[in-house]
Amino acid sequence: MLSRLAQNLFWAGRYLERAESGARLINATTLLLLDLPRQTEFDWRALVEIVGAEALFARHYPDATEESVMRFLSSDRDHPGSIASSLAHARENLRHTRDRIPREVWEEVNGLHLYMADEGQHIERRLARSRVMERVVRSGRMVAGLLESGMSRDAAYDMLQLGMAIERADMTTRILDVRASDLLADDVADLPPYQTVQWISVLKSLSAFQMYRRHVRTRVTGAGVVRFLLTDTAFPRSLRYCLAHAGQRLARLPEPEPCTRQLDSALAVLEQAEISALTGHRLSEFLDRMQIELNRLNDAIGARYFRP
Amino acid sequence: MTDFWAGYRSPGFFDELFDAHGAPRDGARELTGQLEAFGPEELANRRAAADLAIKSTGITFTVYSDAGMIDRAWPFDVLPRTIAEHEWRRVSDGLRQRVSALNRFIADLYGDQRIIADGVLPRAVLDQSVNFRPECVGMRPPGDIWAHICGSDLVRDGNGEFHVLEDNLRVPSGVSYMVENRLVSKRVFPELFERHRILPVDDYPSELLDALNALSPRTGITPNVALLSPGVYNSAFFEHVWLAGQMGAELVQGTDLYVDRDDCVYARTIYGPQRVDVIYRRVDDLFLDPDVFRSDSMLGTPGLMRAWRAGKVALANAPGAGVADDKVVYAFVPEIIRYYLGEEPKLPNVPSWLCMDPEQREYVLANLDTLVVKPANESGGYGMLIGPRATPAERERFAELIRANPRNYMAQPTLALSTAPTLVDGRAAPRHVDLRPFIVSRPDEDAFVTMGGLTRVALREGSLVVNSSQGGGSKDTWIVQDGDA
Repeated sequence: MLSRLAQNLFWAGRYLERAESGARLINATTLLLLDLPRQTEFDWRALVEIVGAEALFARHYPDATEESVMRFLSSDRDHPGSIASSLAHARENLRHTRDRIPREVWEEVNGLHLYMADEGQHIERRLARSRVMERVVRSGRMVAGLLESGMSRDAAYDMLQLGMAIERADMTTRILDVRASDLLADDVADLPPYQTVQWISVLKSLSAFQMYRRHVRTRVTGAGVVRFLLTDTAFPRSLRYCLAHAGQRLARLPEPEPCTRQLDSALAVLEQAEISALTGHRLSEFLDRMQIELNRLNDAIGARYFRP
Repeated sequence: MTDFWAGYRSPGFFDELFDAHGAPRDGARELTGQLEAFGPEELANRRAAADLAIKSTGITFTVYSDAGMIDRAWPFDVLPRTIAEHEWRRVSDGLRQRVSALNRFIADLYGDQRIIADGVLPRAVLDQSVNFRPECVGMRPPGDIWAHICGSDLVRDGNGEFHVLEDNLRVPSGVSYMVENRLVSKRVFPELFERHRILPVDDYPSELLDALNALSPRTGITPNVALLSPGVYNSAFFEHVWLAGQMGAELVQGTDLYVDRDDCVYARTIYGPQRVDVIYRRVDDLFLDPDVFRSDSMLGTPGLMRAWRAGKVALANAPGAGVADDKVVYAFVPEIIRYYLGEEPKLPNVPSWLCMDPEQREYVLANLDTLVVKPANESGGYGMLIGPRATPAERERFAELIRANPRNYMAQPTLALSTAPTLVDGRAAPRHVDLRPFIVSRPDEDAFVTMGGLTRVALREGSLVVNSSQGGGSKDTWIVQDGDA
């Protein structure tokens, strides 16, 4: 496979996953809002921090309101990390590789891109917004299914999956990083019924709630959620699972050693961490460290395969 | 005639579906009856289904504007155009004859130039050709085939006779739309395909791949075939992706390739260098190799011409094949056929006047209000003067252009292009059409001609401009088996 195409597929994987994660995040947040007491101050800025785009947001919007943040995250094409932009990038990357992926995958992504450019603009009202986000998630699942059942397990498949796995790992660390405690003002967060709600919301933004319940089987606590999302070996969006998955894809690619060395380094950071002690700023430091490891992995893959 | 066709007339023109008395032609009877039976409402539904299919499958073409690059949905008219099989067989024979002579002609120009020595082609035509590549003189590609893929534009005159309007021997496009149009019609009108015997069009990629494989310099192994594209900003990029996918060929850009010291071409892959044997290039000559042609080209690969001349890679079409794709050379094609094949042309040219000839030039200048004037080397309908539609000022400007550079211009009568019923506001209206079949030539076997081709239609009433970049659309083209209605 051409190095240039490998790069397109890797990034198509990242952008597709990014769009879907973004939709989950928005949906879970909208649901959380419905549980909160009226007049609760909700800090919308936290969502902008998750995607790490505070400066860009401030340049384009005067205030962080529900509408401005939702627009910024979903339909704003000036924001390169919005769902609409991610889909446009995914489509652009797939356009170069249309001969490598099942035709239905292209049709689904193209259809979703057109939908976002059109219907996807109507996200002010919560009902319409949740419909749009569900469509994005559903298309993402459709693409995953089409790849699973319709794409040969060749290097193109491995590259797409590698991009998806790294993006997933990245998103899981980002969502944890803006811990649920930051989503709510302190006075509300301390009220008994809302202590768990915010952690449930974190799980839900990663579609992890059901699996957490099944496998952890204790009440939802901050420590439990952190442990589950970082170290669970069975849940596909946990950091450990994503890294292991990336390792399996790499093992199938030619001469991956420079990349697997970097992956091992990321895994070592995870293994050596004392998970139960990861609260407050220690969790933040750990996640920052992990973000750096993931960026290095991204760069190692680029150096090995995209620029020979 | 009943309701749907009531009022459908195309006075003064040959219509593809109906004869002058309003009766359906050979091959169109069943179709016209079925369309009638659908009624306007059902047809509107089918049309919406076709639009949706095109949009959702992403069949697009790219146009440039001040606002940048726009990816537009491929414009498609659901009413098919029919041609009876026996008529198409005659046309295919004519195309094979024509392309065979053109290949002999190109090989001669880069070889002994007998046709000039024998006084059939004036040396001045070659001297002033912008598509003649001195860098190719003396080359002998496999089987002396230079133009492996040709797209010829055919039009019918008022009597319904097919004429060749031009031959595209550089990087002709449109074949993907021919095949995709058929898929859309099958999706939209499945019942029509049950009633008709419509000859299939989808074997083109296999034929092309066989022809490309036959050019490989290495024998005994499955050749590595690549399609070289200028990239995503090219107006035909959709087609490049499509063809590569259909053939299982690698879709490459210039920067994906390099030429090593062994003169072989290699692709940069995640497995390391991989040798490329055959390149179906969709990049113009002048951008192919910055070492030889335009040094500022970002689209090509340095050393590609060196590899080609060393016989380490096959290029299709061969560089320089465009010398026969010139509207002045065009006027000589009937003579070219007689000269090389000793046969009379089976497909006529459109009558043409060459401005390089003083007498013909005077005629053109005196009749600018009735003629179409074309520059020798433009494509896509750019830089033309359509006399009857032009203002006196435009005609005056063209007269000056012609006097300044007579070799660059030729003129043809305004053609009474045939019409075909086209869905306009829910009704059938006559619109002008042309036809671009594709001819694939190879060293080891007879040339392959597509079953029909891409029908392009001028969607504006009375317009003769069929280019998709200028408001043209397209139709599925049915070659209907003889004996069928």
